[in-house]
Amino acid sequence: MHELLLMAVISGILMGIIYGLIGIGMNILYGVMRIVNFAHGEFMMLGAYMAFTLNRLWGLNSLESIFVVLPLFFILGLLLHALFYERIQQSDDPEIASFLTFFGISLVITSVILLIWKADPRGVPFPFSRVSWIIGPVFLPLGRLISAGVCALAIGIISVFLYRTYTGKAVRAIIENRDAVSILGIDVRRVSALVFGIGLSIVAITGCLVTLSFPAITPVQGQTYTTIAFLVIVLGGLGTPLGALLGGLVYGLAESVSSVFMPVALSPVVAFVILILMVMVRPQGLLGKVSTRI
Amino acid sequence: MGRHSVLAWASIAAGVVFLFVVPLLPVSLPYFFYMMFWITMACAFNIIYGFVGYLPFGYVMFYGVGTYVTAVLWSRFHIPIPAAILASGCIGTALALAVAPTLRLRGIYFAIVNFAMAMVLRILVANLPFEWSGGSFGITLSRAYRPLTSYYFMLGLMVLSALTVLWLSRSRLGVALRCIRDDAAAASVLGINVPANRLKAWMIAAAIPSVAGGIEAWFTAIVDPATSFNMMVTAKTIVYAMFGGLGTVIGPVFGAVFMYGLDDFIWGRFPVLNLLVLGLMIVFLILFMPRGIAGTALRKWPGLGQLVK
Amino acid sequence: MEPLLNVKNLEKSFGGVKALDGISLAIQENSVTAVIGPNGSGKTTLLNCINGIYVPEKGSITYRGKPLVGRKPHEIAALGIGRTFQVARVFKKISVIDNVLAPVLRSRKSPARLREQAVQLLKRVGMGDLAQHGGGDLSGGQQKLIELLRAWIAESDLILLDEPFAGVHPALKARFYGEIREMRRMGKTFVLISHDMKSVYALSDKIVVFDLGRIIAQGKEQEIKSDKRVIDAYLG
Repeated sequence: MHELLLMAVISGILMGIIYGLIGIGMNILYGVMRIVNFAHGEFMMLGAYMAFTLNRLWGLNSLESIFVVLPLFFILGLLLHALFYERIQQSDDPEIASFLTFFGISLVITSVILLIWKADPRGVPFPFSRVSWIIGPVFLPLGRLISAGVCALAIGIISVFLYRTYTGKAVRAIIENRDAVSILGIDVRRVSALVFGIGLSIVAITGCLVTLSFPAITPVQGQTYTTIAFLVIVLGGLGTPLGALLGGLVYGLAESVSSVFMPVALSPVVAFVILILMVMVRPQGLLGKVSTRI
Repeated sequence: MGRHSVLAWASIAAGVVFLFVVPLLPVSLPYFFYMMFWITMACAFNIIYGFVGYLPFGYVMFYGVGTYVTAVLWSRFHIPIPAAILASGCIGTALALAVAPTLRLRGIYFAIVNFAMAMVLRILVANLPFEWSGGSFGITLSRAYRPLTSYYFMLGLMVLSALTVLWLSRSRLGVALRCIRDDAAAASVLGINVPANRLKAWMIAAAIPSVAGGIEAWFTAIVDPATSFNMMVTAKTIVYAMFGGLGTVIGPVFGAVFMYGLDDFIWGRFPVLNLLVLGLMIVFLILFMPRGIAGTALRKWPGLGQLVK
Repeated sequence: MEPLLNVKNLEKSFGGVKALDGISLAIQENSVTAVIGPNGSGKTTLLNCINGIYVPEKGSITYRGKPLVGRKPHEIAALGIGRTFQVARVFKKISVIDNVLAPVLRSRKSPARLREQAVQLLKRVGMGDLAQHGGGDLSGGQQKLIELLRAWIAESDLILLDEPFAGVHPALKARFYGEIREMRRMGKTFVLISHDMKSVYALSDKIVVFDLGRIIAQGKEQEIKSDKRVIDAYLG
């Protein structure tokens, strides 16, 4: 039992870091532009499928694909910003409008994936010779370990960006107080475009890592990741980027530990129950600053 | 205006009469059954989103609960179907009451939590003991199969739902709801009991899909978790209602008739493309026509107000 | 005489900022009390606490002896307290006449009679032909008048006005004066926040001066004008 629990905790932390990065991607989009990206998971799957094709065509492994997919997704982010940002901000309720718009986009992406890659599960061959490291009584799946490592690196880079660069500080300023910021001479539009690009770049990373951590990908997994992203940022606090990391860890641990005691099929229930409880009891999340009550 | 009103009412009456005689015509009964189903869903959704401004992204859960309550009561407790359908309505309403505290949440949070609840229900229902609800295979109601009777039940529900929306749009409750949607804090300061009014609308908006679910279970004679709690039910309801025009009376009806026809036509021939088209339609609607056909028409010709609202 | 509204030691903070720092105030029935003071001194916060929009951390508010703190805004409205806002909160998507009738949706009076009353009120202030227009079609000044008409039709006894004259056309302003005076004659009580000193002196019996969440002076026009603290607060 102890080994099981220990492995669950370690697994939970590893997944937590990955979930955290997933959450940060969605969170900065929301914090800066009040855009709720309901297609987050679907974009991830798109990235995963692109990694699959890159592997098929040119033999790139999951990690190497990141270098190709990331710049493409960054540009995609800028494109989406150009297409949708203005329209959404002008609507009666930008949050709901973005929610529904991206929901529509999620359907489009899923159907595009189905059209191009069909519904059969696809997999990217694992690039490393060892599947897991064994330390004492504990198995550490190498795929998860490396993914967590990459995510931790990405989180580190993002933190440096947010806290040490001028643009990053502008991003944080916008998140905390959108209206005051224009007075400071910050061009909200340009920063938003950049943030969209960054947000999707993060999605690119996590999408490619999905092929590293899981043996098979299917077009319908997107919804799961979107839900996890929501959960993570609500837990951590909508609008606080690094809160997503905390949210990710909390959720990762909860999911992992509960799977020791409960049938696997029910672990999403744990997730949702945590979400519902969190929103009702402490709506601003563990670290959040955005109000949720009317 | 009087002449136009008469024309409008006449065409609606004609539509209802047509639906009445469909079983006698050489047309597809399921097609029209589902058309009425979606009209009903769109009207009910209009109450909570169009009138009150709340987006229940897990709206399918009321429909799903409705299907299962009817199926379980009939198959495990041998309760006659009409009574079971009534029970579906009651339990759906009770569910709405149970989750009423979430109405305190702001727009997007309410949508997300409601979505989470629907997903929880789907997983729970799929994992209930087999004897209770048939697991992921569900329940069949083959011996209760009465396509004709259930068709007329749905017709009745549809008319009832449309009339409810009509009543709501003219009533004081309807005005109160629209004030709440516009500016809840101001409404409160003016003496409008925001929580109580909101709850009334929420319960009505939940009762209708619950009953619709029961009737649909009867019509198809089968329920299973994947279909009963499928997010696409919510998605289609939203799209059909929005396309027609939320907040108006006739908008969702028109939207459901048109979009369902389109949907059915495309789905029949290109299933995957169907998803794509639906997605594109949602994006297009939100960005360019958030008030739907009826809403946009209303802006250009405000005189239509009497008819449409 | 027992004051209509009694505020005692009210405190309200936001984040670390104390918007109300021990406010005590008595409003007599059938009076017009003006609340003045620099921006951010807590005037609107006071009104919001009375209406139940904010819940104060400390202190009490009683209206005809009944405690208000902890009650929901619609309950407070039902007790007879009306309110207008600095930026008029008229419902843009419903008609002007429905806007006027909003406070009496729950009333047991006949809807036809109430509607007739609303029409008469609109005619009185020269907006009779706008009854069916959308609330969003009205000018800012007209929207403010609608808020006042609501107080009339709701038969509120205590009416809280937040900057009723700000941005209002001089001709409409005269209408406002007329309405307030008429309602005062009928026995109503007013508390009004304003920066428009001419209006304040013209209409009010008592003036209360706020600064930084505290009341620094209360009294009649002459007393306030010569109070050193008031002069400091405005000029210092």
